[in-house]
Amino acid sequence: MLSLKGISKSFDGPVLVDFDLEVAAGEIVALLGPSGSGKTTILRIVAGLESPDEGEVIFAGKDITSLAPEARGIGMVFQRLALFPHLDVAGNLRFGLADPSDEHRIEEMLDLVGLAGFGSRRIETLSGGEAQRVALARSLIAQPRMLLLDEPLSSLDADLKEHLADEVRRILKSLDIPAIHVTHDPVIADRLADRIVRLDTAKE
Amino acid sequence: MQSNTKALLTCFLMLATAFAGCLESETASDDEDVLRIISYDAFGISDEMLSQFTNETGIKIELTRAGDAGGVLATALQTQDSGLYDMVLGIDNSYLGAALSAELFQPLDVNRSGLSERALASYDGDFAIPFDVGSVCLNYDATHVDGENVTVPSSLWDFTDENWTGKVAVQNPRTSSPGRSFAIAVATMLGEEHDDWWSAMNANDVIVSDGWTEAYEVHYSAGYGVWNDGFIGDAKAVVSYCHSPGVEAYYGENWTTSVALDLPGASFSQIEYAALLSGSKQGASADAFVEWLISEDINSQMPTLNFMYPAIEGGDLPEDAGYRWHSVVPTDAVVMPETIDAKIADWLDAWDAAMA
Amino acid sequence: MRVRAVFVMAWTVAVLAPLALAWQQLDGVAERSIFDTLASFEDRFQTSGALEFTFRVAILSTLLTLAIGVPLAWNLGRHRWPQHALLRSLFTTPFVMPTILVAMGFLALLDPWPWFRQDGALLALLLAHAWFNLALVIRFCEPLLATLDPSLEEAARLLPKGRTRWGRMRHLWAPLFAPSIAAAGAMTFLFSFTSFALVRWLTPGQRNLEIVMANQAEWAGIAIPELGRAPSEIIMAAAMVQLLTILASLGLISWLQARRNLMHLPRVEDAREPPTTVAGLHVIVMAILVLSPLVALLISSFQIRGEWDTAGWSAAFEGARTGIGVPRAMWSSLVYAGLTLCIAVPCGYILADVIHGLEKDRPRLAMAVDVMAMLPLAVSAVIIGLGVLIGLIRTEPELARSWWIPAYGHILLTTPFVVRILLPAMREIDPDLDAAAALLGAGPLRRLLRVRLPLLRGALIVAASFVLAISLGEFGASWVVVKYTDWTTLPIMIDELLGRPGFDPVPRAAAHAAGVVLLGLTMVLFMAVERFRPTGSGGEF
Repeated sequence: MLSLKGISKSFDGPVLVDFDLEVAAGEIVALLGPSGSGKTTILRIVAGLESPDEGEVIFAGKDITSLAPEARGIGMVFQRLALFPHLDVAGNLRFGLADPSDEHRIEEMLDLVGLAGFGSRRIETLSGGEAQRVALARSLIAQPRMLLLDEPLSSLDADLKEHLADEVRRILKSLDIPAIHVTHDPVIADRLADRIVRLDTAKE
Repeated sequence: MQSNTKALLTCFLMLATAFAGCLESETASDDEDVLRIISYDAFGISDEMLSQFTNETGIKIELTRAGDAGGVLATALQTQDSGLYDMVLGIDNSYLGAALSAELFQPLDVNRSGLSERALASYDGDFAIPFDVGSVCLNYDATHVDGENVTVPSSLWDFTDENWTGKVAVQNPRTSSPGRSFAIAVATMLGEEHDDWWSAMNANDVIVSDGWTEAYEVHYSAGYGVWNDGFIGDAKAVVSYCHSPGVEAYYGENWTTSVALDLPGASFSQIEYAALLSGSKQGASADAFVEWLISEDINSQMPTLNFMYPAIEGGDLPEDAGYRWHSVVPTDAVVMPETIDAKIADWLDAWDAAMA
Repeated sequence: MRVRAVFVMAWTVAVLAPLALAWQQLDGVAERSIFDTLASFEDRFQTSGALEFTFRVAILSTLLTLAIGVPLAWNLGRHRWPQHALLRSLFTTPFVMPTILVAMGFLALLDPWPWFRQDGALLALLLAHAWFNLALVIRFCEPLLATLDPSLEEAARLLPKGRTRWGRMRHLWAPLFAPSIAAAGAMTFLFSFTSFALVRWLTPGQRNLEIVMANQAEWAGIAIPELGRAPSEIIMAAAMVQLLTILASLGLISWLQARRNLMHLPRVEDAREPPTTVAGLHVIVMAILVLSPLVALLISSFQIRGEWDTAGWSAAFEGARTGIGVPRAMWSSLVYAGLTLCIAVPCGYILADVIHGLEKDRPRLAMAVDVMAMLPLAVSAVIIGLGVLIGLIRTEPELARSWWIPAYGHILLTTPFVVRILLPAMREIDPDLDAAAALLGAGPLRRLLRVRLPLLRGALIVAASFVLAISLGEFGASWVVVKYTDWTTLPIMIDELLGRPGFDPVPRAAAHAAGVVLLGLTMVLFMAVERFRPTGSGGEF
């Protein structure tokens, strides 16, 4: 599904050097490594929010290296979640709807993530776990062909983390969406993903 | 932390300085020989000259500028009998009736024999002493009056025809002293018809400004305003003083296209007075000041200090640079302060209604 | 707590007493009711067209200001500009410029195009208002733009509704910034509604409510009916309209700011992107436009009757025509400004603190105190001056001559700004910090000095710069009152120089020169203090 070939990127020094990655259809891959190893950068390059200095990104057979993020059909759950504060939960999900006539999908998606009836809740009243799930639902409702997860569970406590990791895996599998999950926690990486790719600093 | 201490210190310093200033004016107000005068803004006697007076007589002068003649009267009325002020300068004969009715003044003990007939025409008594005179009349731009299509107006009604559409500037009589004087002259000259004339002027797009400055500087095409930013110059005639063309020439190297309209009755002889407020205990100082003001030495400088004629007998504009040559002494409307006081409210209301 | 309640009471009395006294005086002379007077506004020259003109100018000015200001705030806040702090304070400086000088500057600037003096006079006025109030839009929007978490925009880009720039504009930026823009618009409306010097000089044939009141002020309250009746009635009617409109605007602003705070906007240290050429050109052009009236004023101070001449400058400094020269007037202005600073900032702090403390439990009371704090801005300077005068003259005539009386007006007028600036900053302080300090044993004073004030440093600096600048240029309330003292401030000196018949051209040039000094002083003070403000703080004003 996704191929990264020879990706290199430096900011104030090399962050990625000649990095390769393959993600098959329906596969969940975890990128595991300490901070500074470039994992978020890889995600941002796949999403199109950064451009690589060298290398190619091939998605579903097409070279999307210089394609704008809006056109890639790839969704992302951000580390800080980036829920829109001026909208309620349903409003956030609605942002992910291309077609207004799909309103019913909002309730369906909330059901799927276990937040039935949360539509009119305000963002600032959500707990950590609930906010996570809203962010996930929002990305999923847009029917992405691939989902990127940037350490989404890192700020939750241990029990919740594990529980949610299972949830996320279940949902992704049920929708058959491939995903890359970035984390520094090996236990969670293991629970969520099919395959773990280890990153040490600036190498693969 | 250090910057906080510095900030506190600076605050203290400023407070201290301010308090020091407080002490300064405290001592001044304890001084016996201080004459506190309400004056109008444009009063031209400089602080240097006032210091000279203080040196000669030992009387200190504190001048408060309160707007125009109306402002002076209003301030005096607001502070009546409070003892806050001793004298007023600049109440003119259009306001004098109201001031006298309100019993604002005490008599001054000053020798009036040296004053001219013109200065004493409206009021000859102890309660108010004139110190300068000037006639308020229309000025027009000679370049607009070319003698063929546009002739020199021989009646006020000439201004209501198409040659003068949108080309005459007057001042709001409620907010401007010359405006008020002119309105009085018109009311006296035209009698019952005066509000018809104003309505006709309104229909003829007369320009009305709130103050003399705006009418003369911004709108009048033949005035010094041509040098200023924001000059429009759409008015070919303006209400000002009959000696304004002289002042223009004086500062313009004996050249101006402004001419005073000598139309008998269409001008008002504005006389400005000095008076002692009732409730003041500085009668002696006031007498000394007024005598100084109407002394030959000082009063003959009125044309260059105040842009008005002196009040003393034989006083005239200087001949330099055509000041006297370009000025006109017209035949003014004759109306006494008592009449003005009785009728002004109606005249102003009629003006308001006609111009709305 | 009791102390603070007393303080709020004292402030209310300080603000309301002059008004009450003035109102009482006016009411004694007036005969017709306010309603009747308003109904006959169109019948009298003094007031015809005033209501319509006032509202029209205010609304159009608001629209134009937002149209010009929002794109500028956008470009300014989105990118990291070299000398960003300087640029920001440059665009905010117009707001604290004395309006009389702004008027003179625009007249000088627009002089080559006479159209602006006749058919285009309204447009000139609107442009001047936009120039003036640009700062509000920048103040309310730019800091947020510069520190808003970029993840929001990135998330939007990856979702259907945010795929296009227009989509993001409509669904993300507009709703997020609507409260700030609306608040800036409401304040612009307020200031345009009460504009005085600019209307007087740029649209000379027209009167707004403030000018109507100023014209009538001379005779208001005079007990002689023929002289005082109509003016008193007119002022009461006009003041009532003004007061109600402004109270409504202030209420709106207060509500909008509180509502904005319900949204927890995720912030980062610095969200700015590198500059782009187009944005750079825009900012440069705007900077030139903003500076142009000031430059025009500078140039005109060196011209007499069309020729280059420094006589204006020498006359200004020697004080030949006004009795005191620029140096002494400048010193007086600085002293007053310093005094105002020392009083207005603590006053404003206490008021803001009271409001903030009430917000959670008693929001309606909080809003009431908020509006009360802003009240001096709502009332015509003429009324404040009149009331102070009447009150003092009746009770203690000697007091009227005190040197500190003008400061009274300055303090009343600057404290509301302090409140507006400190309040949002207070809202952003994490309450746990104070609790933590208390648990560590720090008493209230120590907590104030060591925890709260340092956290409010940015906002305090902004507040200080505003108070200094506004006090330096203050005209309206002072001129009614300062007449009774010996002290002259720079603005008063300028007003006197401009007030004389200008047959002699030197006083006018001297006025321009003094104006340049005042402008320079204000700019230097304001911009110097502003540089210490960290990027995103002081953010809602």
